[in-house]
Amino acid sequence: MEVEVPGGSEAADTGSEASYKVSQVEIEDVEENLKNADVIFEHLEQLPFQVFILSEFGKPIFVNNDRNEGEIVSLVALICAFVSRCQSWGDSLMTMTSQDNHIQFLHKSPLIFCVVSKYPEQLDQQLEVLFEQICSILSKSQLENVYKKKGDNYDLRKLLRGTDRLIDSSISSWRASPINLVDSSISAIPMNPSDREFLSTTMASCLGAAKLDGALFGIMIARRQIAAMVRFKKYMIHPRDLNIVINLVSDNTLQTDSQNWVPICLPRFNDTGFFYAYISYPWCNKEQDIPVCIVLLSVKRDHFDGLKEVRQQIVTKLENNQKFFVNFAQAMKTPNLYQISQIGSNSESLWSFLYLNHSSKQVCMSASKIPLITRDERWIARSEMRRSSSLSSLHPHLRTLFVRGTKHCLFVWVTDLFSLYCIFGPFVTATIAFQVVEKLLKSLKSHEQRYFIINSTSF
Amino acid sequence: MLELGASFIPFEPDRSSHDGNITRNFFDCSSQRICTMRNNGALGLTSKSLKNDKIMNVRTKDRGEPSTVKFSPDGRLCAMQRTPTTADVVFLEKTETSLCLELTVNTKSKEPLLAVEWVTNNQLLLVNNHSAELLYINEDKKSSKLLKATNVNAAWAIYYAPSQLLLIANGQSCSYLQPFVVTHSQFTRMKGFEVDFGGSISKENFLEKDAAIATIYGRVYVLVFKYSNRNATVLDLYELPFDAATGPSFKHSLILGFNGGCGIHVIDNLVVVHHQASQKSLIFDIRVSSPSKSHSPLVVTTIESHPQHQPPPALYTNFWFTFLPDIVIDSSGGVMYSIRLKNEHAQLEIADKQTMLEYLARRSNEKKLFVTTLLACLKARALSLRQIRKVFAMLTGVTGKSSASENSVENGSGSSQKPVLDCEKYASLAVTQQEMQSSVLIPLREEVSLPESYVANIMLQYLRSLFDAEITPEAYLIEMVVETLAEAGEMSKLQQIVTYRVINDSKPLAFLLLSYEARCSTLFQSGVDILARNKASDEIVEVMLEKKQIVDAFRFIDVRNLNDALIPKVVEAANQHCVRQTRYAIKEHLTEKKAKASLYKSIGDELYTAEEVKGASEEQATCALFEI
Repeated sequence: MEVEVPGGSEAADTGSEASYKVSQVEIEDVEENLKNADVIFEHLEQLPFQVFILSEFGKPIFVNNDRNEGEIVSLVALICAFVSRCQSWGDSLMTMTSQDNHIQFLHKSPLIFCVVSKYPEQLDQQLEVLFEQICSILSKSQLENVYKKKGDNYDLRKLLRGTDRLIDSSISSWRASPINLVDSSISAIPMNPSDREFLSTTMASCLGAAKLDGALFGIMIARRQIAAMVRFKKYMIHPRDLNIVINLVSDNTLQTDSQNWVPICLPRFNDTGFFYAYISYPWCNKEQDIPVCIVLLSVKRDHFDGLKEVRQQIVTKLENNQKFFVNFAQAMKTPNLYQISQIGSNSESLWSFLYLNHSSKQVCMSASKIPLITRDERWIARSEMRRSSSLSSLHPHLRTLFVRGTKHCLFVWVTDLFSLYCIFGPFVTATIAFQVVEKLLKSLKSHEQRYFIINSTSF
Repeated sequence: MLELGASFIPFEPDRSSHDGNITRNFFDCSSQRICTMRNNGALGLTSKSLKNDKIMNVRTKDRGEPSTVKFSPDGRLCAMQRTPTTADVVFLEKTETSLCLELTVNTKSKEPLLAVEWVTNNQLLLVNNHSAELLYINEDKKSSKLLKATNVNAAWAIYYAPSQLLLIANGQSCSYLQPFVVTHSQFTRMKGFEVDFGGSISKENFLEKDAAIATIYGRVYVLVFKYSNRNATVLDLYELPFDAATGPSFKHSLILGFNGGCGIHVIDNLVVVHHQASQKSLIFDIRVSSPSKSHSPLVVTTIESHPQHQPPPALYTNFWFTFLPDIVIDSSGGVMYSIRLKNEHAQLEIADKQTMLEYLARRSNEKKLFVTTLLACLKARALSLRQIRKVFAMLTGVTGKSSASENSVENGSGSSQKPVLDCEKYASLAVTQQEMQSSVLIPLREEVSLPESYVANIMLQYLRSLFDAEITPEAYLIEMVVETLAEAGEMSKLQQIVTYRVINDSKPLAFLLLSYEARCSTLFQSGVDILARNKASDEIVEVMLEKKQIVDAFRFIDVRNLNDALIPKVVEAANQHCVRQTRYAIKEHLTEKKAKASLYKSIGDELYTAEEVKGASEEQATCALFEI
């Protein structure tokens, strides 16, 4: 059957392309006593997951809860012993499973990652993402060098000072984001196709006009979703790197009128050097409060002023187009997600869906709909999707799946081009579900420019 | 195991006194009467039988000493052979004053008579060397008339009254036996046969005393002693077919294991051979399976006398005469005894329990003993499961399909030939399911010392035997089997017999299974399956609601297109047990089905507040992070 695949067919870059020269930063060595907050052990038990990051030599680096160091040290030593023991056998420890606890290990020299979770799905990828998150702060080459220079017993926390919240929010977004099945996908904030076109061309022309050699990407982010993305010539940014940027700009402490100049390593682009991110929230003030962030990425550390100029031009051009700006502000403030009722008749039985285009790595998610309203209700639906996504990656031959549950029905359709996860009401039949899904795909295709970024403009 | 003299009758023993009075006794095999003649009847003729108390006492003329005395079946006529060629029919009408009237009959050829036998109350059979003749005796006219004659060479002849069978020996060494059936005033010639009697120089001819006829398990057999100089004597059994077309066949060979004089009885389908020299009696049961035609004695025992005889009579004496089927005549003491089996001793005498139970099952009128013995064996766990199965198969095989075919073969109607031979039917033991349950299975269940799984296995074997015999098990039996299996914790077996429809579906069974759900969850599904097969849709909905499977109940209503009457009940249950999401789904579903709004109005419209919906939509749109 021929199915139209909404969401564009332009392949996103998946490999790291490091041909561009990127500069290095020296990170200052600051001594600071870590605050030992009181921890509640029970709190840990209740969490759906628990992450430990430590050095190969058993030094704790990060634990995603404020815990008494004395308590974690023993656990950390245990993890270290497990991993190094397996390594001494010429093997590597991947995972341990007890009744309802799943423990996943990742050994990326010089660090060891470990996650304990009630949910077994995709824990390995989660640890990869965390590794990349740390790389984005230090870069991989620095990470490797640090222990050589400072000795095995060096406390990496000194270098990561203040970035715990980034790791934390990376973990939360993984778990709690309503969108990401895997962090290697992004979602576009719904916009009028013409508005998006205007936004992209404006950004591209301003960046192009500035002729800054080394400014490679311009991204506009709102509500953890991408509004527009422009790039220099053929350079591509990997969705995982993009998620690191999103994670960075969603940090509340940055969201002020001011502008920020942050060194950031994008490991999928080049894990040895740093980009400089010019981050600004042009309308994040009392009068307007549009939660939009402009990120301009350059490899040169002295481009701050140039990029500031570019940003000003973009802001001015956008504000000058009055008609555009009103629509734009509205779309950013309250994003208008895809409503299931758009499908048309007989779609009442569809409660929620999540669509992932495999080539452009973009997802589209339905707006919330009765009866999936409370966080609990939505969480259960999302867990189902997450589980079936993990199932389909484990069993690549699995193409369609229809499960009649006691509370709802699950319909999964995976092809080479897209994956679709649907939650239906309990009384739907497979035939009806399939009919609704076909209509849904048609509808998405006809509105694809609204819900996906089809062509990323280059300058 | 054999008891002498439970019934007996005394008579005056033979004697020749000084005063010239002679007393002689005769036994008539056909009418089973002993006849005492004093002075050849002049001083009186007395005949007695064990079967009835009626003693006949008459006087006849003294016309010489008779060689045989035969009574007609009704006892009104008596045939005596006083000369070699003639027979006298005596009309036994009691006359106080005068002697009995007599009529002399003979064969046409006037040859010496070999046999004189009553075929019916007024038909007399005479056999001589060359022919067999059937005479009609007219009691009123005191005359005789030849009804039928057939030419046959005869060396000797024996007559088997129960089947009206005449067996004539002829040929060289008299070993060719020719059976005739004498019915409807006709001679029906059956296929003759040669017997192997172990002839030798010292024993040239097959003698009348070495042959006997008996009915065993519904078939007529000719029993032939086969002597041998080297080996012990063997008793061969030739089976006579019921029709005239097939020839008799050699069926069984009973190994006696001794030489010398012996007497035969056939009691309750058992062949009993009494050996005088060793004072032992061998009991043979030809139904005991044997790899070849040869049978060894099932029991070797010694006759005991009934305690009513004090002092106990001497046993196995020279004065003993044995007659089929069970008569022993002590000619010195003047007592006629019967021998009977004491089956209650079988447990002691037969070591193998399965053989013993099968033995008991084959005895007539021993059902009670069989059932109690079976129960005792099961309680004592004396039988292996395999043996139990065989015993059950034997019991159910009787009442099942095989009984029809077996009986027809047994009684000859199965063959295309018209049966001419008739004999006493053998009825196998039939134990109904009800008797089985009340006398065996229930007592077993109540026996606390037995493991439940053992009892359950026994019941399964019984069930299996019923199935093998294509008998429908009674509902109460199934219920008990199910209960026992459940008690024994044999849930997998229970599951299997339900799944494979070993036991028939019924609603009570379904509910029984449902009630075992706590012990074996899969039985629940089995129960529901039965209900489904019974189209008990309403019950299924009830069961699902009971299990709080409300969504499933609704789906079931949809699939089965059940009427709307069930819906309010389901909606009610949903309101009680379901989360709001499910209730919403039910409501939507009913709306879509265009069901009457009154059916689901109790769900209410206010499941979701506008505020909540707005909040969720905002959170979703802005990708707010949250953890559960």
